[in-house]
Amino acid sequence: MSIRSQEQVALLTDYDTNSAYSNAYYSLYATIRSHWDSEQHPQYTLLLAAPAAYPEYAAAAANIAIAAAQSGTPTILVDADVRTPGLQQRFGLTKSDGLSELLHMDVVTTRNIAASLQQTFVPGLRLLSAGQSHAGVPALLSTKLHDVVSCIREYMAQSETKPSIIIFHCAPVLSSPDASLLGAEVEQTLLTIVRERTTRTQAKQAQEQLQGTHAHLSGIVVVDV
Amino acid sequence: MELLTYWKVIWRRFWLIVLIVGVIALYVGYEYYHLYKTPGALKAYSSNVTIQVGLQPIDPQVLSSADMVTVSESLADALTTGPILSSSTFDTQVNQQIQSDMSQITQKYGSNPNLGSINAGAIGGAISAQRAHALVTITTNWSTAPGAWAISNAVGEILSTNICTYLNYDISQGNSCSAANNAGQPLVTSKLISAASDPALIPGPSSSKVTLYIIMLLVALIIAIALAFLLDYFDDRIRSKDDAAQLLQLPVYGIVPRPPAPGNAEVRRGRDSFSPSAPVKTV
Repeated sequence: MSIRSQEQVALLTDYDTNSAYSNAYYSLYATIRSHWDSEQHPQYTLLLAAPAAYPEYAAAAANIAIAAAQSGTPTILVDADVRTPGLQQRFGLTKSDGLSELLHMDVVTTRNIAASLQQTFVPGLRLLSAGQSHAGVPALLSTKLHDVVSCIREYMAQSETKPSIIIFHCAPVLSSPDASLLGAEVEQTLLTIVRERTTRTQAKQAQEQLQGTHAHLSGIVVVDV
Repeated sequence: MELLTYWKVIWRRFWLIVLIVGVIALYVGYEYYHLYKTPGALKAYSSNVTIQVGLQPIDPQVLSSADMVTVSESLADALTTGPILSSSTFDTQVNQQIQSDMSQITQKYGSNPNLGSINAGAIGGAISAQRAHALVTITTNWSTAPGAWAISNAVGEILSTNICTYLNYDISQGNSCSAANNAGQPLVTSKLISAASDPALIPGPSSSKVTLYIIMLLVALIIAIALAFLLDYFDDRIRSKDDAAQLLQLPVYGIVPRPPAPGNAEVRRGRDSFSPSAPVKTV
């Protein structure tokens, strides 16, 4: 099966809602929701990171976002994988400004956030793509990421009355420091372990790397590919 | 529980076990096929003939009875341990005798008896002898029953009639079986004690190799299983949610199965088919 054909059926909306695959994501989101104190964190931020890349890596975050949106939670999915962005294409959206452009701005406002968000075909789910100008972005992540994440939270607080969730997808933990930087900014980080693929060494290194930056690593998602 | 874990390890490396055992099985199969196709390798037929070796009667004043017994046993020993039975002259004579006995053989084994590939060179390797005093038992092991009997019968006939051609008390020029040439010395003679026995089925010379091959297969299986466990020991990939949870000391939030393959009934026809109004699960 080619990557193209995989991408065609990689999102949760491509599967029957009663399939085991869909149920697994609904169930996963339910667990995330149970750990989320919406009174304390009305705008909840979540990072899904894997120690190393694997096929359909981006689909995991996208599917949790779809499950969240379909469950009635206003959701923003942020493609923070500026090195290999792909969520925009996966949702069939046109290329537009996104996280890269926000990081390049001197001052980020909620208006900038609103302009960068794209509505997906899933009601309640908006995408902040990786953007188009990726030059210098890895360096900007360490300095500007906090401002951008805070601004996204602020935008959600202004635009939504219900508790909402912001889900981040980023490059694998061991391939760049992006996941560690993001992990320090979000309420909850989940480490994706691919059964029969992720090694113990990779998992342990990723955990140590995330915990080294004070990321709140709260759980594991085990994935079969 | 541990047995289940062991089985999982074996099942994960099943390809390796199949590969190793398969390669050895191919080799064993090839060797066994050769043995199977080699006449007499796995099973053979054995036929015996017994003769008594001695001297013709002579005046006791020339040679006492005790001396005659001693000489007879010495001659029997020479026949048993010497190169007579494996000599080309003897083998050629046996071969010729078989041709002469053909009517007798066909009478016993039908019009077209399977004698195997009888030739002078092969006969020498097929016969062996053992002695009890002056009694010599010659055993023929051959790939076919008619062949074993024919050789055994021919050996018995030759030795009972022409033993003095091969053994004699006195060495002289010309036909040593002639009394005239022996200058008063007794001639070596022999008597057929038991004619060629009906061939009995015996294990062939290579039959023990079958056991060896079975042992090889078992050893290959043991090595393959050991190798499977060794590889698994060095493979540090995470196998299960319990593995991951134990390693990272974190709770497992969810387990996502492999997505259904395109074409599966659980896969929608296309993204366009998704309808926001379609009923969806809410958490």
